[in-house]
Amino acid sequence: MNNPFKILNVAPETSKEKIIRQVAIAMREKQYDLKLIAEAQKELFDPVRRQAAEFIHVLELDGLIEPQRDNMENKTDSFEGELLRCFDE
Amino acid sequence: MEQIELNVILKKAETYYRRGSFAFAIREYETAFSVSPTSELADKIADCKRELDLRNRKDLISRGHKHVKKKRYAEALDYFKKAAVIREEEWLQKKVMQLQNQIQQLHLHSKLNDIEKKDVKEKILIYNRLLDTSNDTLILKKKAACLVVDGRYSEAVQAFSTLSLTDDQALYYYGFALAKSENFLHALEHWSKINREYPTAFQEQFIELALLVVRKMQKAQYTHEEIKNAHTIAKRSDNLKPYLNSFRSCLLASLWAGEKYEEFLSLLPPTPIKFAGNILNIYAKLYLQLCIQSPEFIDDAISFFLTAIYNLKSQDMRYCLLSQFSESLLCVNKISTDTNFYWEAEKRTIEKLRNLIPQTNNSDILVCTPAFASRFQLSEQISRQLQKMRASGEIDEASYFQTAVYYSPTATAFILSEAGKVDEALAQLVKNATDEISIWCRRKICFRYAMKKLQHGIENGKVAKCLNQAIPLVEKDKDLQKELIDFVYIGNVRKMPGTLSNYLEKMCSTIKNTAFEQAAATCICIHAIELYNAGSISLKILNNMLKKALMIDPNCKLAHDTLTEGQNDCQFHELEKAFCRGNFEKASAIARKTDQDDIRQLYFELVEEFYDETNYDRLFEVRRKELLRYFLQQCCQLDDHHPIVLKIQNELN
Repeated sequence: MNNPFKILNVAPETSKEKIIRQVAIAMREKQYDLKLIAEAQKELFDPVRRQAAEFIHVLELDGLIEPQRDNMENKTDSFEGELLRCFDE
Repeated sequence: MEQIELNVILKKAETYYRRGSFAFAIREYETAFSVSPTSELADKIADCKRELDLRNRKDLISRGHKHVKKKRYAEALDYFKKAAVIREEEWLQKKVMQLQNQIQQLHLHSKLNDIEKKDVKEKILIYNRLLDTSNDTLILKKKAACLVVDGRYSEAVQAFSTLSLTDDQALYYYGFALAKSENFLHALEHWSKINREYPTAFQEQFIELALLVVRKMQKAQYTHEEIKNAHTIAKRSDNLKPYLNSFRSCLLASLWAGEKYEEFLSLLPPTPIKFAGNILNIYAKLYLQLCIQSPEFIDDAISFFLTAIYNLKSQDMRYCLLSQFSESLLCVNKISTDTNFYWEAEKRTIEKLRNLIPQTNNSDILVCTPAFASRFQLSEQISRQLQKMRASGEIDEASYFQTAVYYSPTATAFILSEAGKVDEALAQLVKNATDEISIWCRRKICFRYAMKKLQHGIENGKVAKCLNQAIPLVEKDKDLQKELIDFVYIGNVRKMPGTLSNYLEKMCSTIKNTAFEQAAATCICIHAIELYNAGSISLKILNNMLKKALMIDPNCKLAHDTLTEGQNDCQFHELEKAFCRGNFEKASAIARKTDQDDIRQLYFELVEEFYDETNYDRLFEVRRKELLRYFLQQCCQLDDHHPIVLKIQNELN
C-alpha cells in the first residue's frame, strides 16, 4: 500500500493542478519509480480511491488526543516576555 | 660526675618522659648527655623532641579548626600552615588549599558586592577585566546575567553555554536569553529545570514559551528528535501538564510521518471501551500499517480495519478499502490458511451484521467483527440487539442464528468447525448449555462433523449420532439440505455411505422437497448397487432397496433402470437354469413371456447350441427329432424367420 501523498509530496487537500505540478517534480527528482508516480496520480484523481488513501495514510488525532486550543493566528513567532527579577538573589 | 648522680638524672628524665613532660625530659637527657654523650641518649633526646612536635602540631590543628568554625579563615590558615610545617599530610594540604580558596572567594565577593552597585555596562567591563586574570565561574555567570539585562542575548547564550548551571536564577537568565534568541526548545529545557515553585509571572512566560515550541512543532520546524525531546520535557514538568496533549499529538504526528508505528502505538492512551468518532479509524489505520511491517499484528489489523470500514458511510469507499486490504496486504504477506479463514469469517460476519443492523438504524450498537466484539466486551450487547430484532420480526430465524452464533460464547467452537477442525470444535462445545444459540451451534457442529467424516469415508456410531442430533436443524435449513444433495451427486467419495443412505431415507419422512427426495432415492440406489456389486447383498435385497428408493422418488431413473437390469439378470439366470436341467417347457415359457429381446436371443442361442451339439448323436435321433419339432413350434411363435427355424425345418423335412 503505497502512500500517494508521500510519493507526490502533497497534502490531502491539494488541488488537481498542484498534483499535476507535483507529478512533474516527482518525475524529475526520480526518487520513485515512474509507475509508482503514475499510480499515485491516478489514485488521487479518483475521488473514491483518494478518500480511501486519506483513510489509510492521513492521520487525524481528533477524538483521541485533544490538544490545548491555542489561538495561533494572533500569536507571533517570537518570545515577547520581559526579563523577570523574581529569581534574583 | 659520679655514676650514681648520672643514674638519678636518667631516672628523672624517664619519669618525665612517661608522664609526657617531654620538655623536662629533654632537659634531663641533655644534662646526662653532656656528662656521657652516648648515641642512646642522643636517640632519647630526638624521640622526646619528636613527641613534643607532634603535640604542638595537634594543638595547632585544633586551633585551626576552632578558627574555621568562627569563619576566621586567615587565622585558621596560619595554624594549619604551621601544623603542615611540622608534618605534611594530604588532608592538611587540601585543607590549606581550601582555606586559601575560601579567603580568595570572600575577597572576590566583597569586591563583587562593590561592583553590584554599579551600572550594568560598567559591570560588564569590570567583569571582563576580572576574567582576564581569573577564570572564576561566578564572575562569568555574573557577566552572562549582565549581558541578558543589557539585551545582548547571543553573547549571554555563549557565556552561559560554557557553565554548568544549577541555580534557578542562572537557569532563568540562560533560558530567557535562549528564548529571545528564538532557541525556544533549549529555553524550555532550561526553564523546566527550575526547582522552586514558579512565581505567577514566570509561569505565564513558561507557558508562552511552551506554546511557541508547540507552534514550531506543528509547523514541522523541528526534527523528530527535537520533538521527542520537547515531549519528554513536557512530560517531566508538572507546570506543562495541561499542555501535554499538544506535545503528544505533535510527537504522534512526527512518528506517523516517520513510519514509526510501534512507537506510535506505545504512546496511545489505553484502548478505549467506546470507539467514538475518529478513534476507531486511527486504530484501524495504525494496525494496518503495523501489520504491513510485522505479521504479528495481522489479527488486530483485520478486526480493527473491518470494524472501521463497516462503520464508514460510503459503501464505495468501503469496497475500495476492502479490495485494497485483501489484495495488497493478504497477498503480499502470504498469510496462512488459518489467517485467511479468520479474515473471511470476520468479513462475512460483519457484513451480515451490517446488513441486519443498517447504518440508518438508530441503535447505539457498534457494528463490529466477532473478534473485536469479544475483545471489547460488545458481544452480549450485539446478541441482545439481534434477539430484539428477531422478536420484532425485523430479521428471520436463520439470519439470526447464523449471525448471533459468532457473538456467542460458542463462537470459538463454531469457527473451528467452519474451518474444518471438526474434532476440536466438538471437543470445545460447552456441555449441557441450554440456550438456543448453543443448541443451534451444537447441531450445526454435529452436522459439520458428520459430513466431514463421511467425506473421508468414516462411518461409525458417532457419525450416525451426530447426524441424528442435527435432524431438527436439517429439517429447517435449506442450505444444509442442499449440502446433503450436493454430497450425493458430487460428494467425490469412493463409496456412498450407508449411514447417509439411511439418514436421507429417514429425513424424507419430514422433508417434502423434490430435489431432496430425488437425491435420497439416488443415494439409496447407489449404495444398494455398490453393496450388490461387492457381493454383500443378494439380488432380492437389491431389488427391495431399489423399490424403497422408488417409493421415495417414483421417477428415479437409476432405480428403474437398475431394477429392470436386475429382472433381466434374473430371467437370464432362470432361462439358462431351466434349459440346462432339460426343463424346456419352462425355458420356452420364459422366452415367450419376456418383452426383452436379449432373453429371446438367449433362447434362440440355447436352441442352436442344442441343435449343433446333438447333430451327430445317432443314438439320440428319435428323441432329438421330437425335441426339434417342439423347439420349431416354440421358435416360430417367437420369430418364424430366425435362421434356427429354417435350420430345423430343413432337417425335419
